[in-house]
Amino acid sequence: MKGNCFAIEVESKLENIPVIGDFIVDTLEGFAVGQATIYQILLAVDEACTNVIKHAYSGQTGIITLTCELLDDSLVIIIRDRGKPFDPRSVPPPDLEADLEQRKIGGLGIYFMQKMMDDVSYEFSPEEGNKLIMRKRLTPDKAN
Amino acid sequence: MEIPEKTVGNVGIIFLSGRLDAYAANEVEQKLNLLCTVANANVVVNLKSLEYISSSGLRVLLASLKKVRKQNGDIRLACLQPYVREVFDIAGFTQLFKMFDKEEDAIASFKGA
Repeated sequence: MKGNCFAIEVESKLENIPVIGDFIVDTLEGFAVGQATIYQILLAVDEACTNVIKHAYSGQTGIITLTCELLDDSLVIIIRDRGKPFDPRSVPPPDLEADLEQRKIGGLGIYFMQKMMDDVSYEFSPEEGNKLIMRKRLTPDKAN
Repeated sequence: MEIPEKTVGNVGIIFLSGRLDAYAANEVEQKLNLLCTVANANVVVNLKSLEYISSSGLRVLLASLKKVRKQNGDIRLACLQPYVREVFDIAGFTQLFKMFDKEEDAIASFKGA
């Protein structure tokens, strides 16, 4: 696979989550990223896009644009949408120690994003909408 | 996601495969709802072919676990792949579910329970 930046644009529907997943896996395999790291990044992207579909667009139809770029030894993934402002970092972290009765059903998405990626940043502007930037350094082990 | 199932004695076993993302989670939720609405439901979820799980998948499993335990049943997990196990560990779910390396051990764990 030539080039180091790839992009996909999909409608904000849950049935496109696997499409985004395939795109991420194919792109990262093309970058020779190791399988374990691919799954970590896939999880972060999955969570981010699911949040866009469920919260930024609240189930309404919109467009999600995702770019995946290899920059030196880092992977940079940018997810853009024009839904309502939604900063996933505003979601409180889950209580991982809670027992079954106390354990809340949701709240893990952003936690996984932050655990799987080295950096998660968010921007919003009326002109460009939501922009989520996730970075991960690829060590020789991770690049397999 | 195709979700095959079988029964061994009084234990229902379902098999998940591929990626359990937000889209597949709906289907899995429906399948688990069917199995878990009866009292004393004994359910084993075989994850041998599951390569990936997101928080949506964890959410569905947790919701079903809460339901089934209220009715004196249980959901036990078998054959987790290393990466899936890691996600459970990170989410703090390992302490919530009984997990087994082999399906037969998960099934046997319901005897005398």
